[in-house]
Amino acid sequence: MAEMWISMGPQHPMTHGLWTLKVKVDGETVVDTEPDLGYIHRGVEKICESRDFTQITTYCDRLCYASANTWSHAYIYAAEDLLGVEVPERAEYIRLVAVEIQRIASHLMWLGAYGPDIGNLSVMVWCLREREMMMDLLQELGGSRMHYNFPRIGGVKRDLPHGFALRARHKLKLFLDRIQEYEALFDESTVFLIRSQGVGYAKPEEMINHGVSGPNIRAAGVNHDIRTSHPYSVYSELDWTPAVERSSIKGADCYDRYRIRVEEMRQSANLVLQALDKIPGGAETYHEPGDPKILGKAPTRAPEGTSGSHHFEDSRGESMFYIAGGGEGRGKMPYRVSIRSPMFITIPYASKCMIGYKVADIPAIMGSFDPCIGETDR
Amino acid sequence: MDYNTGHPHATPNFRNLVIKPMWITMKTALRTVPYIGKAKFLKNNYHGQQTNLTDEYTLERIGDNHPSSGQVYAADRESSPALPFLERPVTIMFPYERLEDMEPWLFVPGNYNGRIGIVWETCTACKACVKACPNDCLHMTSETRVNVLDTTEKDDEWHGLGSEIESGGLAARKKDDFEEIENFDLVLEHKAPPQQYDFAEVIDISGDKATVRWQDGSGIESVEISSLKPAEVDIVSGRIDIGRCMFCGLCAEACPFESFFMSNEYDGMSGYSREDLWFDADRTRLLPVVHQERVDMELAKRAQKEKAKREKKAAKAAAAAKAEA
Amino acid sequence: MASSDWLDIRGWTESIIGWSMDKTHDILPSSDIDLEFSITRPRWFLEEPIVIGSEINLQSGFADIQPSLEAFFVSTIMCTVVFATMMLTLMVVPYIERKFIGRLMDRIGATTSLRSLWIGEGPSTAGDWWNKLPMGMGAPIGMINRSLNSSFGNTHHLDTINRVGNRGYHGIWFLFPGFFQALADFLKFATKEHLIPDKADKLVFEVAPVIIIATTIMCYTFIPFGPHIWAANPDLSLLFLMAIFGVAPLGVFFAGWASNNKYTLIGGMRSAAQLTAYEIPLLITVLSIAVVSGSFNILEIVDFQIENSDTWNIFILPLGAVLFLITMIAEVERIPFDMPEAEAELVEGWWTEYGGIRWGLMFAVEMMRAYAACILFALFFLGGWEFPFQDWLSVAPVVGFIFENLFLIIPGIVVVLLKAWLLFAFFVWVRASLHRIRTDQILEFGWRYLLPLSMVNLAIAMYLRLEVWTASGWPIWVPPVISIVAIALFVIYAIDEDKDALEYSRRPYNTQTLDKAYPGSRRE
Repeated sequence: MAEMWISMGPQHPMTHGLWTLKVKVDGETVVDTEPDLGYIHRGVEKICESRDFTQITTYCDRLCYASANTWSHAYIYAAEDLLGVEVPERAEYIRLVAVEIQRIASHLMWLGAYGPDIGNLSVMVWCLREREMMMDLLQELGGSRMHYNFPRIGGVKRDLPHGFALRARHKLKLFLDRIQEYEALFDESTVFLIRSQGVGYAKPEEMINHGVSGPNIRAAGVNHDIRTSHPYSVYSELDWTPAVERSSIKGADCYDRYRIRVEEMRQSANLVLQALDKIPGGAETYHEPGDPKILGKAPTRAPEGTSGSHHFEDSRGESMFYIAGGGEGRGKMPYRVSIRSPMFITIPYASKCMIGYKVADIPAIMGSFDPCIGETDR
Repeated sequence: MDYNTGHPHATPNFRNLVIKPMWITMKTALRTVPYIGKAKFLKNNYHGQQTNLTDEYTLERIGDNHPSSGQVYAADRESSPALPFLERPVTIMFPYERLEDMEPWLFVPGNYNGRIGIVWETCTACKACVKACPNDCLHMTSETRVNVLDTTEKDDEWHGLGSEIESGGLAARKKDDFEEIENFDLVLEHKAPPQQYDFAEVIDISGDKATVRWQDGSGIESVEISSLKPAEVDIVSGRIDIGRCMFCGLCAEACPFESFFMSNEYDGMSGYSREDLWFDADRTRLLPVVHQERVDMELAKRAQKEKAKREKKAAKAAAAAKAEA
Repeated sequence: MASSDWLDIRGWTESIIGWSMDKTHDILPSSDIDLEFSITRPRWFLEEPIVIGSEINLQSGFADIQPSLEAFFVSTIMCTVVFATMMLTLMVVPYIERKFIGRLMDRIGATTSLRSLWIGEGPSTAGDWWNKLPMGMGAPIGMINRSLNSSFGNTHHLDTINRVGNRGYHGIWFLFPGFFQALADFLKFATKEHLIPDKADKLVFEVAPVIIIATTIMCYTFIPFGPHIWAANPDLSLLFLMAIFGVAPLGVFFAGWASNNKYTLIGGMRSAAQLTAYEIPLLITVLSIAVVSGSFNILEIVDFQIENSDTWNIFILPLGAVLFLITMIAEVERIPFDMPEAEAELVEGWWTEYGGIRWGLMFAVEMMRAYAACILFALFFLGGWEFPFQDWLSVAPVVGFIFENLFLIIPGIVVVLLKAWLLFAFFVWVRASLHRIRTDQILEFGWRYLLPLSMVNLAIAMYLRLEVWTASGWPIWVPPVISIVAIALFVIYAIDEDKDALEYSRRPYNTQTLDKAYPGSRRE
C-alpha cells in the first residue's frame, strides 16, 4: 500500500483535546507526523492585558481545565513576584494542599483516559470515581468542582473548611489503598505490558534539548523537579523526594511514563497528608476570609518597568508566567502576560516520537505524554 | 545499588495475560451482589470502609432533622447501611435526592459558588461588584425597597434611626404572609422569592393616618402610619447576566456591605433565550432571614453611624443654640 | 436421531404440512383426465391443428411432487421459526452485555441496580417502607395513602410531582429494566438517514453490508437450537456453516475499501488480516471436533456427546475448547481483538461511513456472530441440549424422579440458550478486563501460537478417536484423566512467575524506580 497522510483530525476520539495530528503511514507504520494546534486559542494572554491582577486568576484556571489549581497558583506566584508580596506561611501550606490534590485529580483523569486508549474500558470509570473524591475535596476548598479561583495575591481565598482535614485524611488513605487495584489492572496485565513496553522510546538527551519537562523526563531518569531544584512554597520543609524512573538505554517508553505518574499520585497524597499535619496553627483552626494569617497585604499596582516571573511544576511539566507591569489603569493591569505551556513544547516532540511505530501505537504514545490542549493553545 | 522494578508483579506471563485482570473485574462485579458482596476477600480492605465524614461544625449547622443524619457512607459513597447493596447511593438520584442532602459539608453557605443572591435592603449601589467582575456581568438598575435601617420594629435595638414617612414619598407595609415568605426555600424553588412588602405612594398625612395609593393598583386607602415603613426608589447594581457569569465569586468578595452572597443553589438558572438569563433585582433577591447574621451586622454598623451622626448634629445644634443664647 | 425432547417443532410442522398435503391429495380427482384436444388452425399459415397433451392424473401427479412440496413448506416455516427464535433471544445478548459490564466496571448506576425493581415508587414517596418491598407489592398501599391524603386536603406530594413529574415510575419494565433497549436502538437506526460518501464506490459500498448481513443470517439455518428446532440439516452442515461464516471477512474488506476513507481502509485491511489469520486455527479446531465426534453433521455431533460418548467434548478436547473460544473472540472482533474497529484510532473502523439501517444491521450482525459463536461452543463442547449430569441426576436415589420429570419438561432449547448466554457473559467478562492487542501482535499470536496449538489439538483428537475410542464409548478413565491433566497444566502456568525476570540485569524491559517516592510507596 502506498504512503498516505491520515488526518487524526479535530473530531477524533483519540485526541485528548482539540487538535489535529496528521500522520503519514506506510501500511501500518508511521513514517512522518505533523501536529496542528490552535483550535482553542482563546487569546488569554491578550485578555489579561485588560484585567486586574485579581481578575486574571479566574482566567488562569481555565488554561488547563483538568488541572486548574496548578495554573492559577503558577500565575499567583508570578504576580506576587511582580508586586513584591509576603505570603503568610499558613497560606503557603493551604496552597500546597490545593495544588497537590489537583495534581492527583489531573493524573487520575489522565489514567482514566489512557485506559480506553489502550482498550481497557473498565479503568476509566474507576479512575473517575476516585477523581470524584478529589473533586469533592476541592469543592469544599474552592467552592466549585472545576474552576476554583482559589488563590489570591498574598494568600488564599479562605481557610481550610471545618472538617476538611478529617475528610481529606480519610479519602486520601482510601485512595492510597485503592490505587493498588488500578495499578494491578495495568501492571499485572500482560496485554497492557506488551502494548506499552518497548513503545514510544524518548531519549532523555533529546527531551532536554527540546525543552520537555515534568513527568515526561523524570520517566527517563532525569532527576529534575522544580519543586526541589528551585523550591518555592513550603516544599522544602516537607519530607519527600521526587519520583524518578530509571529507564533503559533507549529512553523512556510508555510504560515508564505510566509508572511515573502513578508514583507521583502516591507522592502527592503523601505530601498532602504531611502538610495537613504540619500546617502552622493546625488543620482544624478556621480563620475568616481576609484574616492576615491567610491573606497578606498586597499592592494592586505594578508600575512600568517592573516584571515578575515564576517557574512552577505543573502536572504536565514546567509552566512559567512572565508578567510585565505598567499597563492600563496606571499599573492596575499588566502590560503583558506571557505563559509558557509545557505541553506546547512537548507535543511536537511527542509527535516525533511516534515515527517508526505502528498506527495502533499512536494513541498509546500520545496519551502517555498526557497532552492537554487547553494550556497548549491558551 | 539496589534496584527494584516498578511493580513487583509486572511481568508478561500467562497469569497476567488472562487470570489476574479477569479476577480483578470479577471481584468488582461480585461486590455488587447482595450478601456475597460483603465477603472479606472481595474487599481487599479498601472498599466500602464506612466512616463518619460529618464534622461537628456541619452537624451543628444541619441539625438533627437532616436527610443525611444516620447515614454513614464510605468516602466514595459506596454503600449505605440502610439497605446495603440494594440501595447504592453511588449515584445521587437527582432530582429525588440532592447532593446537599447527602453530603452537606459540600455546600457550606458562603463556601459554595452557587447562584448569586443579594440582600437588597443593605445594598448601597457602590458599584464595587460591578468593577470587580472580570466579565462585565453586572449592570445598574433601580428598585423600590425598604432600607435596612427602616426594617426595625418598635422595640428593636436600633429603632428610630431611619428616615421618616413623607407626603409624596413612598411607603411599604408588610404583607400578611410576611412570616411565611421567610420560609421560602430558596434552593428548591425555581422562581424568586416574592416581595415581603406592598409598596404605596403616600399622598397625604393627617394625624396618625396616611392616605396612600397602592402601587399594585388596588386603589387609594387610608391606613395607620404605624403600620407603614418608609421606602425609597434606589439605584442598585441589579441586573446580573447569569449567562456571562463564570461564578468566580469576586463580586461577592468585593461587596463591603455584606449584601452580596453566593447561595448554594445550582438550579434554577435556565431559560429559553439569552434574555431569560438576565437576572433582575427580583430574581436575585435574597431574603434577609437567610443571612440574618450578616444583615444584623450591617444594620448594627449603619445604625451606629447614623446614631453618631445624629448625636453630632444634636451637639452642634445645642452648641449653636448655646452660642446664640 | 436419538436425542429428543417434547418441543418437536419440526415434527409438528412436518405433520401439519403432511396432513394438509394429504388432504389436498385426497381432494384432487383421482381419475385420469383426458387432455387431448386440439386448436384448429390458430393461424392461417399453420396447416395442421395443434394437439395438446395427453392424459394426466392430478392425484398421482401431485403425489409425485408432494415430497418436494412438503420439504419446501417445512423448510420455509422452519427458517422463519429459527429466525424468529434467534431474533427474539438475540435481545438477551446486549442486555447481558450491558448489565454485566456495568457491574464489572462498577458503574451500575440508578436503573440497573436492584433498586430499579421497586415498582410503584414515585418521586414524592420514594423511601416509604411500602415502596421498598420488591416487585411492587406495596404499590396499592401507596395509592391508598395518596388518595386519603388528597381527600383530607394534603397535596404536598403534588409540589414535587409538579416539579419533576412522575418519572420515577418504571411501569411495566419492572422485571427486566432495559430489556427492550436493543430493540429501541435498532428502531432508531432504522429511521436514520442513509448516506453514501461522495466519492465512494457506490456498488461495492452497497453490496458489502449485504454480504456481511446475509451470510451471517444464513449461518443460523444450520445451527440447531434444539433437537427439533433447525432449518436445514445436510450431512456436511459443519462445513457449510464454517464456509458461510468465513465469507463475512470479504464483505468487511469491501466495506473498508469502498468508503473512500483512510480510516476505513486501514480498518478493513486489519480486519481482513486478522480474520484470515484466525480462520485457520478455527477450522482446524472444528476439524478436530468432527474427528472426535465422527461426523460433520452438527446434530450428530451433539448426539454423539449425549448418546455415544456420554461426556461432553470439553472434557475430551479441553485444548480445543480454549482454542475455539479464542479464535471465535477474534472472529467476532471483540476486545481484546477489536483492533479493526478500535475507537481510539479509527473512530469506528471499517463501518465509519455507514449510517442508518446499514449500521444498525451490521451492529446487530456483530451481536449475531458472537451469539452464533456462543451457541456453537455450547453445541460442540458443552453437550448441546443435555443438562449437566443429566444421566446421573435422573438415577439419583431419592430425588431422581424429580430431576427426571424436570428434564422432561424443560425443552432442549432452554438448556442450549442458557449455556450460550453464560458463555456470552464470559465474553463480556473478557472484554471488561483486557486491553486491546495491537494488530501485529494479534497476527503474531494467531500464526505463531494458535496455529501450532491447533495442529497439536488435531493430532490429539486423531489419536483419541483412532486409538482410544472403543465401540461402546470412551473408556471410563479418559475424561477424568484429560481434565486433570488440563487443569494441572493450567495451574502450573498460572502460578508460574518468573522471579528472575524481576532482576535488573536479565529483564528485557528495564523499568525501575531509582528513588522511591517515600518509604512504603509501593506494595512490596
